[in-house]
Amino acid sequence: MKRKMIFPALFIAVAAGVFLWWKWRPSEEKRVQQQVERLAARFSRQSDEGGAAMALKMNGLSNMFADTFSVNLTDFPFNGEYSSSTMLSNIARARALFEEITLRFYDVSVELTDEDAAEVLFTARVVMKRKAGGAAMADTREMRCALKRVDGKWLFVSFSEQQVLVP
Amino acid sequence: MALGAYLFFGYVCTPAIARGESMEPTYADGSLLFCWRPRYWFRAPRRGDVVMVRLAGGRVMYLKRIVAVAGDSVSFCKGRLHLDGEPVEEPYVKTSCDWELVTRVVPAGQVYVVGDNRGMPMEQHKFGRTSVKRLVGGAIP
Repeated sequence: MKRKMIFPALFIAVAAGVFLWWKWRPSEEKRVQQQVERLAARFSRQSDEGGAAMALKMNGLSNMFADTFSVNLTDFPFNGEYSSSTMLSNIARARALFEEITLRFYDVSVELTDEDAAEVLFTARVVMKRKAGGAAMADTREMRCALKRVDGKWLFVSFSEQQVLVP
Repeated sequence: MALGAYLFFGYVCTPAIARGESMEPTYADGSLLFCWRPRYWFRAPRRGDVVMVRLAGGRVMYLKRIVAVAGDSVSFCKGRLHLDGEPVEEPYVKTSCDWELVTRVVPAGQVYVVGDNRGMPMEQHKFGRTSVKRLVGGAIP
């Protein structure tokens, strides 16, 4: 009798697991939000970041951008359109200038504008410490970024700033 | 009691930490303050008010002082704030500066906000006009 019960119980448990996974699987909005948070985590660097950690992060960043990526921020010297590889080398150069970078995104709100397109509004705060020492640089801005889904992956297409204070 | 405290500190009088030096010496980096949200429920923003300006949401905000309201002409000449062409006394500003800003008129529905620390280079100081709708509340103390 006991042996007979094992298979139905196992079946019910697996079916319940599948149902729960299906019910609570991450929505597309959640996937986009995770991608945005991943970008912040990979761009950030700790003062004791080793070569392996850096390589992993750069490898992770290498498949986060669309073929062409545009940046449009206020008082930013690197505005323009870049290929994903150029963007990656720019990030590598920027990361190398600082001993510590903390990039955090707050109040992230995701809107799916199309089946394969999303717009994200958030507040970005970055704190950077130079290698040569000195005071940390900090900046806080309201940003909007666009992403598109290619082969099931959400890729960054553009970054722009929503100007809150207009001089 | 707990629910009351949650509602009061979550939606009426929100605690915040000042980050950065743009409001020094009024608010030093790391100082604790509260955002009094009902401040503009019944009255319009006034010159001299220290306000919290919303960005994408409520977790990170700018802390600034209103120096001009809608209709005012605002400019900086040799580091001195001018409103409608007249220099303004600002007792909360303790540092001198050489800021220069040509005259601009604050449009309807907006205010002009600047930090108290004018000792910072103008390029590093975030200031300007913003919509009244972005004002979350006034800072206390």
